[in-house]
Amino acid sequence: MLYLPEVSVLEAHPFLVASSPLDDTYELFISECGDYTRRIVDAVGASGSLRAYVEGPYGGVAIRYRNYRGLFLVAGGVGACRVRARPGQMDRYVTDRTVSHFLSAPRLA
Amino acid sequence: MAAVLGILRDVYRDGERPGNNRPDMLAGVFVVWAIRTLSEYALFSQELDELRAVARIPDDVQPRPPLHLAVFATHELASKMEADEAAAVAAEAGSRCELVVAYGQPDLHGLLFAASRMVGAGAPQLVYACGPRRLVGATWDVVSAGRSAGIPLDFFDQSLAI
Repeated sequence: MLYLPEVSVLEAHPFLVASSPLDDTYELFISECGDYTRRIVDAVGASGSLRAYVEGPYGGVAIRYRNYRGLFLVAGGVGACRVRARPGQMDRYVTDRTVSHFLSAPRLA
Repeated sequence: MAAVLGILRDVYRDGERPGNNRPDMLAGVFVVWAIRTLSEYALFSQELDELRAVARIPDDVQPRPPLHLAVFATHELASKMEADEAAAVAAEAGSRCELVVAYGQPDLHGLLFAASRMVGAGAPQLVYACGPRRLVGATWDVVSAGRSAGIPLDFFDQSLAI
């Protein structure tokens, strides 16, 4: 749970943590897609930094994946927010990098 | 994707820090990432490239598990020609590819069973799903089918209400 008093005194919102437990820093990906996240972007743009209070973590994040032979991770979207599409960016990616295959997949039953 | 990225960082980067143990059981890591359009891929493409590069580093002492990434643009339409070509290479490509970029919904059943074959029959696998409820529910259905087929699967999930 992230509480940013300079953005909102009353609100605290949950965000997914992108950093590893061994990282020195605590990283969140927040995209501008709603009122609260827009205010975060504006506040960071105005001051350059924000005071933040963090509570948690919540949810089943303590996964002992080292005990398994295979790790199958399924992710949907980029996080709690959908980002605006940036046309042309993927075209550059495709031409600059190596992509093994383009293929179609059947729809989920 | 943020939560999955955290797990990947933990798997592939902890060996860089003294005193940390790298995963010793993992024989393969498979990531299925469903996004609306391919442009969203660009947000994490650099970091995913770096992680894939780390996964390729030869390490005689304790090799890192190979990383397979399948990206599915669910709201981007493939042309008829692309779809036809894709149908031809789909069977051949399978999970041998390190990076697969595809249009449409992921075939979770096929991908999970292919991953299971790669890590070995009867090997325990952990399945973690993070995203919209529909995707998490679909993953749970596939895990149920895998368990019925005798694959030892454990399932964890984190749903997002968006």
